[in-house]
Amino acid sequence: MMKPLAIALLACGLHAAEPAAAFFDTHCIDCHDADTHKGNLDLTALKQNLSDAENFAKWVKIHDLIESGEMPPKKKVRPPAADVSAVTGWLNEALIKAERIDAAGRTGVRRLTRSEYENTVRDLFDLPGIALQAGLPADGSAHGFDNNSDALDISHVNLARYIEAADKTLDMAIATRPTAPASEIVRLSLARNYEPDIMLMQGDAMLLRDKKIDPAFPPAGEYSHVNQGAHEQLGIFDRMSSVGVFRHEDESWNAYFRHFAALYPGRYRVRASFYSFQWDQGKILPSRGTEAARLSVVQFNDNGRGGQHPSYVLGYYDAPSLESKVHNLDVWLNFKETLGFNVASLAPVVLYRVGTWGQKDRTMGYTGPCIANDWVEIEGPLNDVWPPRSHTLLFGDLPLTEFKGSRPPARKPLKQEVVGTKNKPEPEKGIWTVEPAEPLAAADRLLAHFLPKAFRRPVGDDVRQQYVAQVDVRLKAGDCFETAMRWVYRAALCSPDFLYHIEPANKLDDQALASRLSYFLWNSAPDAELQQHPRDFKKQVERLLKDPKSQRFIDDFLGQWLKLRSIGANDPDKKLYPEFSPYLQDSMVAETRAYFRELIEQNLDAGSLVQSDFAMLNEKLAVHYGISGVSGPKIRRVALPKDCARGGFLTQAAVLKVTANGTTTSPVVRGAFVMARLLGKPPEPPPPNVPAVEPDVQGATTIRELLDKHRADATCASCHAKIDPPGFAMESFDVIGGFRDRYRSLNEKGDPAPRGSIDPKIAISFKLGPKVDASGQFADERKFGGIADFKSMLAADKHQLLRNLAQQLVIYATGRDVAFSDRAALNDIVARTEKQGGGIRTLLHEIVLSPLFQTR
Amino acid sequence: MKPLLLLFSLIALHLHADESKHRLIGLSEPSREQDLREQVKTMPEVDVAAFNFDTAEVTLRYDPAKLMPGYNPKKPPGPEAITRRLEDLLRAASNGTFTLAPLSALPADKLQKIEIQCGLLDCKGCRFGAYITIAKLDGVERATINESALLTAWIDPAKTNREALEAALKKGRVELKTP
Repeated sequence: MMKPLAIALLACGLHAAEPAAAFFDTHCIDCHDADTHKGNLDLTALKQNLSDAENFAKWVKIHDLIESGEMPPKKKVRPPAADVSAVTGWLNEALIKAERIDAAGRTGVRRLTRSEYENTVRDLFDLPGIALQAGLPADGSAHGFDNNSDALDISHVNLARYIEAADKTLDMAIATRPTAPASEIVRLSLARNYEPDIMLMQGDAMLLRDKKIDPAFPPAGEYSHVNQGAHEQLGIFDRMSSVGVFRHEDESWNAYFRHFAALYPGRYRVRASFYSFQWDQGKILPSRGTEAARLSVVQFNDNGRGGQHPSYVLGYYDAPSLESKVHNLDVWLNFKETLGFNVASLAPVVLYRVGTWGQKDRTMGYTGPCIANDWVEIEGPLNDVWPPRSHTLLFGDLPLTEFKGSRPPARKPLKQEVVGTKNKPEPEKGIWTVEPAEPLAAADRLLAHFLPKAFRRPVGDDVRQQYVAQVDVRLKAGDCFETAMRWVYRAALCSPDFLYHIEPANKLDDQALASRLSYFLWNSAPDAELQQHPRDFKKQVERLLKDPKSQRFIDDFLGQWLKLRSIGANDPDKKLYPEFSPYLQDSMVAETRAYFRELIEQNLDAGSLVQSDFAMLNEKLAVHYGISGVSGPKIRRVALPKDCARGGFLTQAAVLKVTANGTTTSPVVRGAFVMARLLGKPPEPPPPNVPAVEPDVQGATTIRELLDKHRADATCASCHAKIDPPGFAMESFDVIGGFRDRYRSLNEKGDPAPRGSIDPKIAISFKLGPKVDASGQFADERKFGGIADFKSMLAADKHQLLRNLAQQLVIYATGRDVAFSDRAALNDIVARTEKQGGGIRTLLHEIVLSPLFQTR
Repeated sequence: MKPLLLLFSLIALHLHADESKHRLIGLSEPSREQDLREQVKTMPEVDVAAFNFDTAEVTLRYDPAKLMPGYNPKKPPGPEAITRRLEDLLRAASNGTFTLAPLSALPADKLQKIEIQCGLLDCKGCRFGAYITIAKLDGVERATINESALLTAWIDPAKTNREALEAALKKGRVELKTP
């Protein structure tokens, strides 16, 4: 009599069902029949309809478990290799045959993500700092990435925002004056800002001249300075003295350079001079090393009063001991933006509250490090050509002339809205615009130039004529030429041709290929060189990677693959992790990005993903990791000591932080991260109605003890046997990526905690709780003693690491998931890469060469 | 060439000059005389004809035709308008640290001298801050402060007293040394 499974398989009409059924009956059915259905799988009830997505996924899982040798389990009789090969071969064939492939290609129609949109506009208009992302709705995410066609829907909200973004772009792009605004050099002193004044008066900052106390303004001591207005009237803060600052910016004050707020968006040259010293109750001594000063770009809201305006970090800069260092930066400033300063590498202290740090007399009673800002100089706006390239893109070489018509282009008069700034707009003399003699002919010529650039491919005459017709409509309605053109430019920027990746069915044509390449490695539109020679793959990949724009790929890819975008999702508990600071967090992200860049540059193999003999560190991270000999904020390659636990992504603080909450770590979360992100084996989601394992925040019970109880439940055990081990190994690292052999605890019964590398100015209140046990056992029973063993074992399986990275990159590069039937092509990429040494740069080349990349 | 021009303009100023004498608020300490002279130099229409720190009095010399915008010699401006103009110019040049006031109506021997010892005021700005807090009070005819933070005021006893001065200082967060 034929067994039930065989009947079922035959019922679905699949060839070779008989031997497969025999395999299942011999090796599987005992545990996976209607009575036992281990792992909630009843093969006798499993429908054979592979066109059903759920069934299809289940059969893929069965295929993978048999192929990997995980099933049948080790304690059972092993099937002969030939049988395994036969059954997986049969399943493979059946699954590929059944997989529904869209005739046009697997990648669905997808729009640009927010970052792709912003970068595309930046590159198209040569407006490299225009800020558009924040105004667009957040993108969804599918298969780990936001550029996936499954996630990129569009709504009326998107469209409304695209119109706003297009208007903002055109406002910035169109020149409204015959000559460029004059470039000015403004030298700014931190002293001349009302919040630093308060700092200076109260004692959290001091004035310096020539590396000595400014005699006109002795540091606050027993008495703070009185009557700020009197000091301002006498010009004491106007003497361009250097300002030494002890205190971090916080909710109550921000060190903004308030005497400047950009009026003309554009390129500016910034020079900033910093040094550091050790302050000892009135004496200026050499500092402990090179300190880090932070500069940020601050976007003033409204009239700029108050603090806490939106900002982003420009960078961290050396402040050497008693030697001023001038840093030169090229930055883009938008309207109402200025710079902000912070003493990034100092521990947070507050001197005006006398006695807080044991000192009696504010500054004069304090001993500790200080960072001085001599000045900041802003030069700009810098325009090497006028009209700017953004204008020329839209209006070619049409001359700007004074408008004499009746309906001028609508413009918002420029004014300085920020209170207290010194720079003022230049007076506008008349209305200047472009007014060609033959507007429609000019419109046709301008659109013929603009549309192919914006749409990233040739544009037919019929399409262009539709836009020209709209210009005609607007001109007849009485609009001036600029307004009429603006109308159609806005339409073009909101059209599917601009907003969507347009790819032909099946094999990509040259334009689609150029776009795919540039959105992969630049997160933006292709340049002319790429559009002309998209099939010169090797040369183009090298060129794209060499270009600074490739940093966008690294940031965007790592932001999602390793979840770096979530780095600020939670703030570590201040009592448990008092040494945490924004500078440390920014350094963490910089390390991971620099590390990935180094893997590409050096073409290192996939083993380096988890193990290496170097790290990319600055002083902040090096101290955090217990590594000596690194000075200053610059990230650089550092050789690791022999038995150092660091090296590879798993032990990088950024990865350790994004896989923890602000208080505790969970081996489950970290284990799942490793499986999904590094091994390409995402665990099954937890079954419904099973409560999560909540760590004991008091630190009395270890997470391992709690998980041991959890795994006593057989339904939980099988999955946790796979998920937990990587997480156990990573238990050697706390929520901010610090190494630990004991858990930190707020339980008063804990042991006193040694200070270690924590800054002496930072108060410690946490205790030491139970010991960390970072040992574990893989599901296949291999054991590891801790993180070093674990990493070595992972690194040994370079193939799996490379295959997963290949898969992640393919998903990212193509905007779709890797289907079952794509596996052969994916395996081919991996095999070809391995043949050439397995380097990650090689992998990028092979991905671009593969049919997965070159087909829609 | 420039010094020569300056000389000519000074001569010209003296030839057509009028003078106006005022009590000066802002002379917190002797070094402020130098501040005053430098700031007046930035006022091309005016120069200092006489100065007395001990009485806090200054005499300003000016050419009314240059001082007063729209000057009409047939209808010359009155002393109040001149004082108002001088006051505006001086305030702008000194960033408000000097202001003019009418000469004291009381003879010096009728003024009461009050000394108040403040806490450490080791910078000019702080001393000026403490000084200005009381110098502008009604009834304070003159005040000074020295580097030891000893504040001295000459007051009209009919209008104010020590307690009022101390209260004003405390309100301005100036710490007072109690004996």
